Amino acid sequence: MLSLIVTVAFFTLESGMHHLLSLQLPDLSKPRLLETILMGGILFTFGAAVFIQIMAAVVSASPFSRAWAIHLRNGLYVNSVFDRIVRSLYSHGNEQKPQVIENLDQIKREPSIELKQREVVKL
Amino acid sequence: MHHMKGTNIANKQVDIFENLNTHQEQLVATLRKVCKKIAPVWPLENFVAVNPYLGFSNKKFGSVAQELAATGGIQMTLPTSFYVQKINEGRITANDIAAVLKKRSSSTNAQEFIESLGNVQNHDDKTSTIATVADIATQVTNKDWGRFIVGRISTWAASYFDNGQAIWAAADQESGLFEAWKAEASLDHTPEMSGLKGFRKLIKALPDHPVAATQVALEKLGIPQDGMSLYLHRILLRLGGWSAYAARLDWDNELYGGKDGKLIEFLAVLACWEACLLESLNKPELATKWKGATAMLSQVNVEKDLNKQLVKKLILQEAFDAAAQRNLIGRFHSKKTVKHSKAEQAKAQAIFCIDVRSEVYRRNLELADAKIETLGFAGFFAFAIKYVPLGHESGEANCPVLLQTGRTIREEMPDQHEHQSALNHRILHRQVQQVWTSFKSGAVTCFGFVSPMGLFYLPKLFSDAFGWTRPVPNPNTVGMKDNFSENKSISLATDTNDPTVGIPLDQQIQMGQNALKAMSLDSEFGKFVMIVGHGSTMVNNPHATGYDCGACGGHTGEANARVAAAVLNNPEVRKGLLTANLPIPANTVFLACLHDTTTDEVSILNQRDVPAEKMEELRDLKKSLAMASHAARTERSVRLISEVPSQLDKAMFARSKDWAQVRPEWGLAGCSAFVVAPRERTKGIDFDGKSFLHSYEWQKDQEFLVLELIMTAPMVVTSWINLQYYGSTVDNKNFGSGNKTLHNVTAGVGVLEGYSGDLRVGLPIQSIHDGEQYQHEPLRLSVIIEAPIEAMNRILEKHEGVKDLCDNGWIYLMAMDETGKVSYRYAGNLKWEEVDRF
Repeated sequence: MLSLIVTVAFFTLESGMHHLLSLQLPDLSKPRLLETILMGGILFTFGAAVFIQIMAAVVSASPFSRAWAIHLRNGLYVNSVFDRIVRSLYSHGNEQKPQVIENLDQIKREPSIELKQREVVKL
Repeated sequence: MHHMKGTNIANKQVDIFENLNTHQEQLVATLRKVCKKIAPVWPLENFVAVNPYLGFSNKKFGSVAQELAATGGIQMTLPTSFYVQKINEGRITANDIAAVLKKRSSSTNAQEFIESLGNVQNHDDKTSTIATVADIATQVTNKDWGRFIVGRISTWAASYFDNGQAIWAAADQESGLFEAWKAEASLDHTPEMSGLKGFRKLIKALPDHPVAATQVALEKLGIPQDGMSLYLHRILLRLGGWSAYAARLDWDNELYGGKDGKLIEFLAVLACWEACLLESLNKPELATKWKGATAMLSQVNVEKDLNKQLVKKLILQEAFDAAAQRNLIGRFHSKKTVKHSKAEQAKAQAIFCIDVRSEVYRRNLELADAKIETLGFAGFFAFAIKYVPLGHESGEANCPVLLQTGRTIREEMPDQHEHQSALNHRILHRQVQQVWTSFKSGAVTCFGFVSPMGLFYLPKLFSDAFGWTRPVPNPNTVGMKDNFSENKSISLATDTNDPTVGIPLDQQIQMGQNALKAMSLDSEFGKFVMIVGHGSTMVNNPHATGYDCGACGGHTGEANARVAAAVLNNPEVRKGLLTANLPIPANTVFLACLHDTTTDEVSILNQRDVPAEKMEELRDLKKSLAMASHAARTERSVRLISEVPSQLDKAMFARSKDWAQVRPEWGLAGCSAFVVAPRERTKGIDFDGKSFLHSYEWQKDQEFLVLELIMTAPMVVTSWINLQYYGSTVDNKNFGSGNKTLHNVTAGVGVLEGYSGDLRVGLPIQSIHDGEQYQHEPLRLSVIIEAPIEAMNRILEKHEGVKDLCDNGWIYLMAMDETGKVSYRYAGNLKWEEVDRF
């Protein structure tokens, strides 16, 4: 029912817009080879995304599908490649390096005032 | 393992503590001890306050500050400059500092101490921590490996712990934590692409068992035995957020009689990462430096109190606490004693939650009508229920997280026919919503959706942005017609199919009796007794449940108030209470109410229970409530809005549905005191909405059972809240959640700051700071109880956990005498000292 309403709304709007704008817009030119390839590529990835989304819910969790889930969630490592290219792991400047305790004196730095201990009087 | 498929999850997850050898058992003991140092964090759906120092209450505040500074770089005080400013403003006096110095047996003069602060530089506040492999590797390779590890583990954890946010869970949630991580890490190419050679191979070579793997990792790392727990604590703190989440899973398991182990497995993941990082980088310089660092572990372990800079800041913090106490005690001393006279029946008695936000409202309600009395009690009103809203299958625990839930209570409509129609309506609404959402976000359908439907969302976008409409419906009323929401109530009836549902009469009587006794309300009932739960209303705020009632487990107190009122209005229960010497007059009606802490509106939820002849009185009461609401809003607006607008009420209401508002209200910011005494002691004192108030009359408390309850439950919980605010204020990086405007909800359980990094715990900076100054100043809780000192000592002696809190400087305990003055201060080890007279 809901899908019927939306489908009708979709086609009504699309054809309405077509009716309104078709006279104003230039005719489609025949796509060149590069454009055809690009369009084909986009349509293919779109189709693949749809296919994966539908299949992911249906396919039972096999080691193979698990492995692919991991690779896909990592964006097929495109991000890691870019990170490597822009050297995102490198820390810039010294202030980002972690301060670690290298010797005890480092943290035992004397305070600017010595807290004098009161002498304990033994009775 | 394929033949195992289909068996339930419990069987699939192996008990990690079985079949261990002696050496491994020793290791588990160490691991468990370290894991206890991580405080749990609750998910966003019931974000209750937790003491971030929960595992440390058996140690002195000062030595914990030393330990956390060395292991996690965690601050436990604000920078010196904050305290210097307070000295300059006159808030901290030389006397306050002198008293602290004297207590520490230091002969330094307070004046000398203050002068020495003048030349303090900011670098004082930098801390250095014990090293991890990632830290040393960062120094050697100049690449930030710490951040890398946090990012990788956090990405995996968000998928493993996912609570319904992801459409497609990539991690194997049915396997054990370590097993699932190992499976993923031995497939993930990211570490290798970032320069860690042969990382997957190293992971694969690790044992499958988490304890065995930890053992191997620690051997590879060469951690000395005496530095072991320091090091393990250090690596846990690097992913403190997810560690806290794992600790919460253990907490819930243990509360219901299960086993811990999640955090131990998580720790195994962290240790394996460190070991594999060391091996895979395989640099001689790294190996040498790391060897030096492991030797340092043992040395740091021996010398505990080594950071002298910190000692000074601890003195300043203690002086700041002392100054606040001086102020608090002074308010009681300058208060005129009110004569306790009760000639006629009170118009109403309103029982509020002990929450600091109730204090403002209570004071204003008493001013609005002197014949209305108010009381304070934990906001679940001693009814620890599991509440199932209409159309829901499972319930939520509406009780403090320290307790197990009791009876299950279902929401219902009083009329059978109406109930069915409301139920159908709500379920249909939800189903349509689900179809619509999946349609909007589906890969194919989303394109078809945007072009015809997109424009129709424009008006709502505008009206939401200008605050004319509420961006999302209130979860309480979603899918309900207005008249349904008005009429809904709860059912106490028992269900033969499910023995946990409903409350049988004998239990109703028992629960009613316990509640009234605990509230010190056993005679002189008013014409109305209002049971006021509280909740907040806000939109687009992931931490919204943190503003709801903590005593109701991060829910509103509505259900608990409804149950309490229904039980106490039940004529059968009243008959039963009569025999227990609790005579409730026939003309007393219990009203279930809800205090909205964002707008300060109080609504009465069970008006249908009020008989017709009392309608006039009810109208009168409502008038007083409206006056008090307006006064409370006006008072709160001073802290909340810098320029007072012409239409103040409207401006305050607008905050509750403004999706760009980072501070819909101040919550419990400022909480620093807890007074346990009859209301006459605190009546007329303005606590600025910063004090918890609990009603208690020790003269009525035989054997001090109620006092024991107060000191072991509300006092501990208020200290949790206070220390959550304290931790978020003094170290927002580690125990707070950073900048609210950058929050992204992850896994449906918590927030990240930005797109990556650790899960963030605690409160955002916007909840404690107004952009110019702290709205929550770091003060440890001052508890004032009117009760005999011997009785308190007996309870402290019996409950070591509570005694630890008082002995080790996590809370300050004081006693009030029979004249309402604060007379004695707990000095530790069951000794008390007299409070100086001002």
